[in-house]
This record gives sequence, C-alpha cells and structure tokens, in this order.
Amino acid sequence: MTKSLPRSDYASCQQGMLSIILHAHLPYVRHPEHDSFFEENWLFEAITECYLPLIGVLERLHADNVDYRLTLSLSPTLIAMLRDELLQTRYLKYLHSRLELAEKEIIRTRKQPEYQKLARLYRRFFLDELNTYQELYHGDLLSAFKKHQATGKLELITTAATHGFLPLLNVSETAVRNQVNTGIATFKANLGCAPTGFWLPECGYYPGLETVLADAGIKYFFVDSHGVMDASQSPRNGVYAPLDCGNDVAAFARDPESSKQVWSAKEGYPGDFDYREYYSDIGFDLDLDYVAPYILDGKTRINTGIKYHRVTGGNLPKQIYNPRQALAKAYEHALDFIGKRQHQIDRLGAAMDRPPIIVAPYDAELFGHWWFEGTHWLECVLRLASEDSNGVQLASCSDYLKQQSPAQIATPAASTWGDQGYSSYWINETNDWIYPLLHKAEQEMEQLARDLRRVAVTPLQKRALNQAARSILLAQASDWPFILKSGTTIDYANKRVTDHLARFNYLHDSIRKNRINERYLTALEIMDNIFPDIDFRDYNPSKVGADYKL
Amino acid sequence: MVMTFLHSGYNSKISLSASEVLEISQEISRNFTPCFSSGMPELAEKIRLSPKELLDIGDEISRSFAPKASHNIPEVTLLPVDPGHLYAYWNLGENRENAAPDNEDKGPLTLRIYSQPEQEQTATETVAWFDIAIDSPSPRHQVSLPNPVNETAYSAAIGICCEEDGFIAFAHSNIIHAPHAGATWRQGHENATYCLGKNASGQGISKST
Repeated sequence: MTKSLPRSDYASCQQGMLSIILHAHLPYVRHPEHDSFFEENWLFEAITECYLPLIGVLERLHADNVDYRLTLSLSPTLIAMLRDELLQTRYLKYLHSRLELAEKEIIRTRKQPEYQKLARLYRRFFLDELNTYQELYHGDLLSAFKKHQATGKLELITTAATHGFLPLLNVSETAVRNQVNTGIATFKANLGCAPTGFWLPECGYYPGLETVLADAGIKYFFVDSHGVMDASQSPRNGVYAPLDCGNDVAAFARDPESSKQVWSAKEGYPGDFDYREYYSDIGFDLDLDYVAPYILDGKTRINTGIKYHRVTGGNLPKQIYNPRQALAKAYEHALDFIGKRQHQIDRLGAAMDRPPIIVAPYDAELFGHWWFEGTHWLECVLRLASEDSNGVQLASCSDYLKQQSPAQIATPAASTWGDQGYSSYWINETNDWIYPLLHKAEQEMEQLARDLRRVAVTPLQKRALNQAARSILLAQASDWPFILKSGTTIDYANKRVTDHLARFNYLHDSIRKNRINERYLTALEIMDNIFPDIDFRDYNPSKVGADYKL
Repeated sequence: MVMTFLHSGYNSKISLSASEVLEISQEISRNFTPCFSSGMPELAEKIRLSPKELLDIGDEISRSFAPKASHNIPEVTLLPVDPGHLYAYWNLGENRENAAPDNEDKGPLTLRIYSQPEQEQTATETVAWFDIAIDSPSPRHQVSLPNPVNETAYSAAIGICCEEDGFIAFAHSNIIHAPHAGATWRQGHENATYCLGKNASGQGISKST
C-alpha cells in the first residue's frame, strides 16, 4: 500500500506530486455574556459536519495503513475555540439537541419510509459524532489532529492570529508581524511544535511579506496562481514548481485546474444533482411550531443540519436524497479528479526538468459542511492517489522542499484568492470604513508600547495593555470585511469590529489616564480570552530584526 | 395560591405562596448563577462576573467608547486595491475650514496622486501626478489609475489648489505599490475561478449560515 519514493527515483520517472491543503478557519465567536449565541453555531456546525467527519477519514486511512499525505491549516482562532471549555460544553448541548431532533424526525416520518431512512441515518451520524467527540477525544479535537500529525502523514500548519488581511494591514509592518507571530505562537503553544508552512489569510500576499515569514521561521506559503505567474521573473515551470523568494522561503501557487473542478459554478463537483442540497433544511421546510426548539429564539428559521433532498437540478421540485447514490458519485468524482491530475502530470512532466507539484488548496469547511459528501470524496482521492497504479504521488509542500530546492528565485506578485484576484473584496463601499479605524487603533497601540519601552508597568497595567493588544487583533480579522461585503450577517460583523475597537479605546483611555477599573478589565478578559501569552511590548515598532525572530 | 410539596420526601408541611417561590427563585439566580472569572495567568485575585454583568459592561464600553476616525492632525493614507485602483482616506485636522466647499478664496479640496517609476526614485524630476477634485464630504476615495504601470511607487497628498497652479498640501501619505498588472489582470479575468464564486449548490460562500 505504501509508495513513498526515495528521492533518487524522482528523476527517473515521470511521476508528479499532488499536495492537498485544507484551510480550516472560523472567526473567534464566543459569547459568555449570553446563555446561547446564534453565531457560535458556525463552530458547532463545522465541528459536526466537517472537523469530526475529517477526523473519521484520518482514522480510517490510518486503520487501513494508507500512505496518504494531507496538509491541514488550523487557524489560531479555531485552535483557541476548539480548546475552549465553554464552547466545548455548548457544543455538547448543540449535538444533543441535533440528536433529539433526529429522534423526533424518526417518529414524524414513520409513514414516509424513504424519509425515515434518512432520519435514522442522521441519528446514527449524530450518535457517532457524539461518541468520537466525547468518548474518543474527550472534547479535545486538537489531540486527534496531533495524533495523526505524529504519523507523518498529516502536516499541520497555521495562519495569522485572527486571520487579518495582511495587504491592508501593511500600513504598519508591526501590525503584520504581530498577526504572523501571534498566530505561530498560538500554534506552538497548542500543538507543541513550530509550523513549517504558513497560510496567508485569503492568500493575501504582497512583496516583502516573505521577510516577515522568514523571521518567523516559516519555510513556505501559498499564493494564488497569478501570484506566481505574474512574479518578478517569468516562472519557468508555471505554477507547478515553487519559487524561492530570495530568502529561502518558498512560494507555492494554487493550481487553477484542480481548483476549478471543485469551486467552479459550472463544472464543480459539489453542484452535482445527486449530492445533498445544502439549502433544503427542515429548519426552513417544516412547521415553525415543530422546529421551534431547534431554531433561533424559537422564531427565526435557521439550518438544523437535517436535510432530505438532493440538488436535483434545473427548476425541478427537489427530489429525495439517496446517500448510496451520492457516495457512489463522490467516488466517481474522485476517480475523475485523480485521472485529470494524472493527465496533467503526464503533460507537464514532458516539459519540466523536475517532477511537477500540483497544489490544491481548499477551505476545509467546504468538505462536509457545504459539500456533504466532500469528506468521502477526499477519502477516496487520498486512497486512490496512494495506490501504485497511477503516477500521482501525494506530498506535502514540506516533503517537496526536502526533496527539491526551488530552482528559480523570484518575488511573487501581490495577489489574493478573492474575487478579481486582489484586495477589492476586502476594501470597497461596504467595508472601507473599517480601515481608518483599524489603522488608528494600531497606531495608538504602537505609541503606547513605544512610550512604555523602558518603563516598568504594574501587573494591572500589564493586563490592561495585553488586553488592548487582544482587542486590536480581534478587530483585524478578515472575516468582518468579508461578511460586510457578502451581505450575510452584516449587523454582527459591524458590531464585532466596533465592539473590539471600543474595547481598545476604553483600555487605551484607562491606561493613559492610569485609571484602570479591574472589574471592567476582568470582564473584557473573560469575554475576549484569546492569546493568553500575548505581550503588548511586541507592539513597539522599534523592536525589529533579531528581536522578532522566533 | 399556596403550593405544597405533597410528594416531597422533605417536610411536607412547608407551604409557599407564588410570590415566595418567585422570591426564592430570584435569590438563587442572583447568588448562584454560574459566573465567569478571568483565565489570564497574571490574575492573582479573581473577580467573578455573571453573564448579565459581562453584558452590561460590554454594552457600556461600546456606547461610551465607540470608535471615531478623526484625528487632530491632518493625514492621508494610501492603500493598494488592484493594478488599476488605489484607495485613499484622509483627515484634514484643523484645515477643515480652509477646505470647506463654501470657502470662495480657495480651490476645491484635491487629492493629488504622485507616481514614480521605481528605478528613478532618487530623480525627483521624474515624479508625475494627477489631481482628483473631491466634491464629496466623505473623507475617502477609490482612485482609478489612468495608466497602471508596473514597478511604480505611488503616494498622495491632500490639499487645495490655488492660483497659478499652486497646491497647498495639508498632509502627505505613505508610499505604496499597486499590485503588478500581469497577464492575468490584462486578460480581464474572464476565465478566473476564485474561491468566492458560488457553484451550482451555493458552495464557496463561507462563514455564515
């Protein structure tokens, strides 16, 4: 089953490499000031539909001794939420309520055998989830990922502290350094090792960022295809070999072909008519009274996770979901994906002086959450690619760099993986108002750290200063401008930006006036309890160079 | 109405009125609601706060310290958007009156964009610029670059034009580079597949339900 090639074999065969990267990220949403909070469901849905099923995939591959390679980027905010006791407790409550709803559904659908079959499937699904979450991992999913990382088949990497959109924070290099360094420090504290790779939030790169990454000990990062295609030197191998940015940090580019097969509106797998329809959910389809205990405040309809229909297609009435048919389609799509990669490698191998690497990064939450069968597809892809019968070899970017040094030195072009390929999704008429506020707060934080650089502070002042730094980081998350543009939960995104900046303003004012109210400070520490080891002195811009090297 | 715990294993003779039950309930809520304390390592003596107290403190801070962009000092900041666009925002500080639209002595508020090829940054005579008349009260503007040129540094000044082609600058910006306009940009993205594109089932939108 295993097929790891010794390095010398690469040159003598036409094999190429496929690197699949899943980027798992959610904004920090945790509200102890409320008994329950709707947006916390983002995490709960992702755990239920994506992270636990993904762990299931890893467990099965491990049990079958499949020699797969997969890279998983865990954002620091997600790491912190997965470790948080309050959210762990609330997640269990959420999972129990899904189980209860599935049981109610088994009764309600007793005269509709096709539906009842699905209701039973959901009950089994939620029971399995509960067992994995509670019994197997005791609520600590990071330990599951760590376990698989230890096998050498799963590579864990991370991203910026709160997923700040770095090209628009770059008015201050200190802001960028703190996003990068705090992210890496959080990863180290929770995973016990340093990441080799770094996921740039939204693949947002600008020339010069590689210096910050090198100082932080990072060996590689990802850009979108045009980041490499429009680099300072024309890339000899297109997007199929990394560039050395000139400082031993490698930039890998997203492969547009494998990306299109999953993301494209026209050709993407997830839109197949046999797959489960995300938008057909009993939270919207059944009587309000019936679903009231499982929706928002008993009044506002939301997704419950129980969905009975398939995509169906066209304007036809939605047809009932057939899991067996859908899983068979996922296998077909996995075969198609591997076949196309094989074809790509054959084509590229003839023109390249080295084995091509196809880099296929995706948002992790696509798999299982938006695309219910996505985790099954991924498992099939990893199994198929591990078979000797094809020339596609799975590799992480670290594996690649151990075997091949980048052959070309060039600086990638500024780019993102967002709409239009640059920064316009994160700065436009819907969200531009946040940047003057973010930059002003950052300036004030840096001025505070500068003013206090040789001053001893009391423990209370230190707490207030560190909390101010947390508020800045939380306000900088790329999720808020993203949501403001996408128009989904605008009020919440708006409130989060303004609340964090108000909290910063309050702390800044308290520190400057030396009138720190410990009760208020404690409240903010309780509500925004992320990054326990943060050090406000890192906001002193004169702390550069060697001081920043991790 | 008086309630009795007829089936209780405890003292069945205790009877409570509705108001007494309510009072006891409220007292228990007041005193025994689960409370949070800070998990921060530096905290020696723990302050315990109920969810209601946290909410009140959060709301009070949000009300009283709402962020405001205005600075007393004039400034202009330039941000890169894409190969064809920059974004500028500014504060006029105490120059606000000079730049008021009804000030007939002065020209309109003007955003001046300077461009300089990178290789020639020391040769100041090669700096080119163009002006954008600002007729909106909004202190921000998306700038369309008339001829996007790679390897060019951009900066901006906010000020007013005066007689004989004069320009009084209130503030100068940072220097930035617009993203490189490569083949991808020139092709107009007709074949682009970015992560934000929805597929047929709506996948591709993230972080919201």
